[in-house]
Amino acid sequence: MSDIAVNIKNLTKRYKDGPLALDDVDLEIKKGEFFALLGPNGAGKSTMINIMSGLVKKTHGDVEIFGTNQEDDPTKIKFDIGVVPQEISFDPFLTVQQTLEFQSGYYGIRDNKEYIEEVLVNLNLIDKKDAGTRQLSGGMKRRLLIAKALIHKPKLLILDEPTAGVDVELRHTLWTYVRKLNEAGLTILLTTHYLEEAEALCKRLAIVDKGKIKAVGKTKSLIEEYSGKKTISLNLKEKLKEVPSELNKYETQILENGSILEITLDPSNTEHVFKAVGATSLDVTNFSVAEQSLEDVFLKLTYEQHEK
Amino acid sequence: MKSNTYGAYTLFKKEVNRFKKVWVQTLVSPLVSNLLFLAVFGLSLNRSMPELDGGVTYLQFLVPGLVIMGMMNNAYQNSSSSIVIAKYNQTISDLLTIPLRPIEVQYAYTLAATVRGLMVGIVTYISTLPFVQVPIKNLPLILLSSILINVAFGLLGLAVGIWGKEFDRMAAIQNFILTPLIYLGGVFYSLSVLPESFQKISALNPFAYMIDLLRAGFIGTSTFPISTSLIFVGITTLVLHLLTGWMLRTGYRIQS
Ligand SMILES: Nc1ncnc2c1ncn2[C@@H]1O[C@H](COP(=O)(O)OP(=O)(O)O)[C@@H](O)[C@H]1O
Ligand SMILES: [Mg+2]
Repeated sequence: MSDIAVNIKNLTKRYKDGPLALDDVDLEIKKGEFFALLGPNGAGKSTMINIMSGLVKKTHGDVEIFGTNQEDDPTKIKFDIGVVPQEISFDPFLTVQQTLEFQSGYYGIRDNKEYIEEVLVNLNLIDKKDAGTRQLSGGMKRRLLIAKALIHKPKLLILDEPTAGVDVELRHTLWTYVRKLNEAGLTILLTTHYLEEAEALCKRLAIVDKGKIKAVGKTKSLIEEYSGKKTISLNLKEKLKEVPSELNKYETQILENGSILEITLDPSNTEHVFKAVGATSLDVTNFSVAEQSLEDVFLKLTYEQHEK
Repeated sequence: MKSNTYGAYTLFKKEVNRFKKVWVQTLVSPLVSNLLFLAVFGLSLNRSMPELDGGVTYLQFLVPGLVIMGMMNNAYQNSSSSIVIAKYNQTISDLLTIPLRPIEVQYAYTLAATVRGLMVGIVTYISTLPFVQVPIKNLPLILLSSILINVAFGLLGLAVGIWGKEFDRMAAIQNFILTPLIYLGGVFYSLSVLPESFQKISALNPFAYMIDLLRAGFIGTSTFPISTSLIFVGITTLVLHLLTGWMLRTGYRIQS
């Protein structure tokens, strides 16, 4: 048995008369992982998830989940995964209990009363089991969606922006709950545009933007890799048109129409950078140093191109 | 790929549940309109219409037509409205995410539509008994043809529901295509009384064969040979089966 839960290769999606939502994406998620796809709106996160669940047709590429290729047996994959979609929708004529009973039935489960009850208790919805789905608040609907995704005991839970538009308290309740599910062995894939959420929950993450994966790795090492870094901003007397050749090998950015030059430092190159700056003819009037957080990295990776 | 019979049965149950909740509306409204037809046509036309072959009165001719019309409309509406409502509620995506194969989805919808159509057909027949005794000449033919007709219209409703975007379109299809074809297919009159040119045009109407076939089961006489009608009805059902199967397999209009 392989230890891979999700194996995506060269996945590409172009919507009809639409944008290239996924551009040759590769992704591997191991069994038992709590993995995040982190990216701004429109990055292609939902598209990736919806291809896995069968809502969206891929343009090309390969999707393999727990060793089953989607093209060979899409139904097997549907049994293996539980998806909490980004958009909330329910049959308005059913109660909470009925919604979950039908959902169990679709998966071939004849009598699921006990498990339905357990899930409803865990999600704090048991009081609402006879309420119509229309009578639920937004947060309750979100929890019912999670219950619905769990009701057939999937091996992989996929949460598409589960806390978008959810208040802080519920967000933390949900975090605790899904963390517990993961500790009990469930593989979880989460999408989010909140860095904080990915940081709080996931050991590994991929940063997605414009249909591409920009970085993938352990959340911690991504933070370490970048948090050691600082940026120094040099205020210049004369506006700069291009970066002096002495500084070419460093990560630089010209800001404020050339009156500020920003250079990224890491502990190993600090000394060299200062020497290199000294060797240029730049007239530095002032400078400031800033720590770079993962948030900055994330923003930089994702928003840089948008501004151009 | 293993089949998921209980899953398909659950979808069927949900579809039946949907019309069971509004069973008054489902069963009473065709009942009222049928009695109205009986009253209007029966009182006005029955006496002045000549008896048909085998001493069949006009009312005896009419009742099977009403039975068929009720079945067609209800089987069609059951699947078409279910799909359009699911699109409106945005629960249509469930059809793509639940672990049912396209053919299982197709059977669940068609079977639910058939159950509803048959119920309406039976209720229509029984409700007319106090006013007119319609013979049952060939019960196996009645059963076979009413199942085929309901399956065909259940499939048709499924196809139109998947294709259509709004309720307006459903209504337009029903008002401008189905109802005229049903009426012109000989619900109220025998095609053999039409001028020859109209008879030729009517022979192109697939519904005419369905109506003629089921009626033959009741009154024992038919306009078209029974074997011809059976072939026509069988082919129509098969084509609709292939069409909806293709739509569901390719995710037509549902999958982006
Ligand atoms: N059904 C669709 N038809 C056309 N374009 C779509 C559709 N769904 C998403 N898109 C486009 O694909 C891109 C990726 O969207 P999405 O996957 O929803 O991003 P995310 O979930 O990361 O916010 C966006 O540009 C979006 O407008
Ligand atoms: Mg999204």
